[in-house]
Amino acid sequence: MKRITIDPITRLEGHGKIEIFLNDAGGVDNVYFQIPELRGFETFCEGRPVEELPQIVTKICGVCPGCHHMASGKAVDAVFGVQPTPTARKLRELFYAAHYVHSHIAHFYALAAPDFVVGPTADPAKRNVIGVIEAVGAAVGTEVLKHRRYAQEIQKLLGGHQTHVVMNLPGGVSRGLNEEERKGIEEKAKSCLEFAKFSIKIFNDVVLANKTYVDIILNGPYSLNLYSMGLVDENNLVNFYDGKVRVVDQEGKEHCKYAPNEYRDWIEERVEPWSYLKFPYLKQIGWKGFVEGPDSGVYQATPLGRLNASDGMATPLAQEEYERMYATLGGSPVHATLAMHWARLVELLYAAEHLLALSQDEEICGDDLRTPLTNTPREGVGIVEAQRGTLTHHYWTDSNGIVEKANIIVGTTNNHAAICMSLKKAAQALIKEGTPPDQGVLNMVEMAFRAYDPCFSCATHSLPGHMPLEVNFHAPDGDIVRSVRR
Amino acid sequence: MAAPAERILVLGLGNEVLTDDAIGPRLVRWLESQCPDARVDYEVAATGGLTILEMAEGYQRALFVDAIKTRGGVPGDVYWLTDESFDNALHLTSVHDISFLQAFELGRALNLQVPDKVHVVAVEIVEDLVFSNEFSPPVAARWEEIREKVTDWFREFLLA
Repeated sequence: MKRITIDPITRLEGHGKIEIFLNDAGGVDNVYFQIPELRGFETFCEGRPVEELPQIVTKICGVCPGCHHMASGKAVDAVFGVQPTPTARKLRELFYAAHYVHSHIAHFYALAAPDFVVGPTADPAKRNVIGVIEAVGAAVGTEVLKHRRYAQEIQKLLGGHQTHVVMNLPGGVSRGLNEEERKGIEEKAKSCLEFAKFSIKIFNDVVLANKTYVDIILNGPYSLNLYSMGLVDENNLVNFYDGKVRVVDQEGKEHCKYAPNEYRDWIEERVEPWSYLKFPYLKQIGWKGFVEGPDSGVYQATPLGRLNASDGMATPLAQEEYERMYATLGGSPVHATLAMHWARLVELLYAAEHLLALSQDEEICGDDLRTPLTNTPREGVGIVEAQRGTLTHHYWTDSNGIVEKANIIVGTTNNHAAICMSLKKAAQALIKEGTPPDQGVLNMVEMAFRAYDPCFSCATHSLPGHMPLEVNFHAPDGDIVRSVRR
Repeated sequence: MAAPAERILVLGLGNEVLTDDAIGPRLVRWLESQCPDARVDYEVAATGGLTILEMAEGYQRALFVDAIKTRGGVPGDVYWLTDESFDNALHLTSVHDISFLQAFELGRALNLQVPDKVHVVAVEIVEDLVFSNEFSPPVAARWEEIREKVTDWFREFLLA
């Protein structure tokens, strides 16, 4: 038996890189954020029956499989020109609310909380979820895992598998709920709602009660004056599953509101030679570079972007928290990047309330699970809000439903330009000329992009199970003068 | 009174449609067909961190089968590792999720029943960024050798 010891930090390829270019005085000139991108998905889809795609796309990503499954299912509905039955739609939304609960709990406790509970400049060995548990107590950690598990169990029940979901069929879903299952979901949803309220309380007690943290959120180098994007219902309230995509400007004025099949009228994608990932921007405004302001087509599609782009939340407790957030932060829209953490908790509350309401809906146990297909398939677009941004799937087929072409704009891609700009702004403010940055400063630079909850898990399946991050400092001549890996 | 039956998790990590990244799931499906054992649950997942902790809770032993890329590594080479091999990675700050080793550390901190030691079979791969149902040629050429070696190791693991 061969045994070796490997330090995967230094040996694993395909990691994210932050390239920081210093000027002669030692200050920051420019910052580039680079990540690997999966390739060939469109080719992989071509020639397959379009109804297979909702199952295949769950394998794009181990973090957002439910989002891809929903967007794909909606795109396939559109290809066949069919709407799911009322019960099927509610079951999809029930699944999706659980997906949000599952994901947002993980981000807040495992990724955001270490910066605030343990501290932004704390020892990196302690600034993680273990440090959070040490600070707030093991009982909270147990509750975190319990409610993630509840949300996962709901997804597994409805979706057939926790990640490789097989729920959506053209015009409906593959299974319904019986009364016993509904009751089980209702009990879990009640518990998730209590936990969401508790999470808001933690944020109040730890972050908002700390003047230093509030000052960092509002006055630190974490603000970008961008357009905001999000899916809204007919009343302009946040909706994760369906509606129109609304974009508001820096003052909150509506720039556009488009149906999924109109997305190419409003969104264009730019390619930069130094990045595999594209940079979507608002087509009517145009690409003016990595700059802020109303003349720049750069936008954010994040929890905060969704709230900015909406007129409120569709559930009472989330609406209350929405109003409190904007009252505290000076009104909508908010451009403080770190306020995304608060917005994410407002969404967690909404998702839990929506989960409970759907579990108590009298139609949820109906047996009208599919709408018959009668149209010739051709082309369709499906859009949902992934936790990390607006997710668009667009398929073209022949008249037999065989895929000829596919196009996907994933959540994090929407925010690629914004992430780069946030990193540059934070680095320029925090890295002082002539003073080599310590771990605390580097972490505070990282906080600028961690707020976006960027999902690169599609590139992280190889050991050690997550993607390392590398920060390189370049002298004016381009040479790397310092390299830090995490 | 009989001791409670040992439960073993064998988890294939990787994306089944991402060229060589499928090596973990495919090996686990192979092991399941070759080594039926009432103690063992064979699972596959393209995920990490907290989800793996949730999957591993309640097991006494765990074997993960995954892809790996090392500088200068030879495609198709197979390594048998334990979590001790990854000591330096235990406290990394992750980009999206926590590492699976950190997840196990969390489980122990919360007194969950998680395996004391994680064994990992890692296969050196070439390509994990391109969608395909096929392995890259260098890995495909050694597929039979890989699965036989892993099967031999796995039988030793079951006897331990």
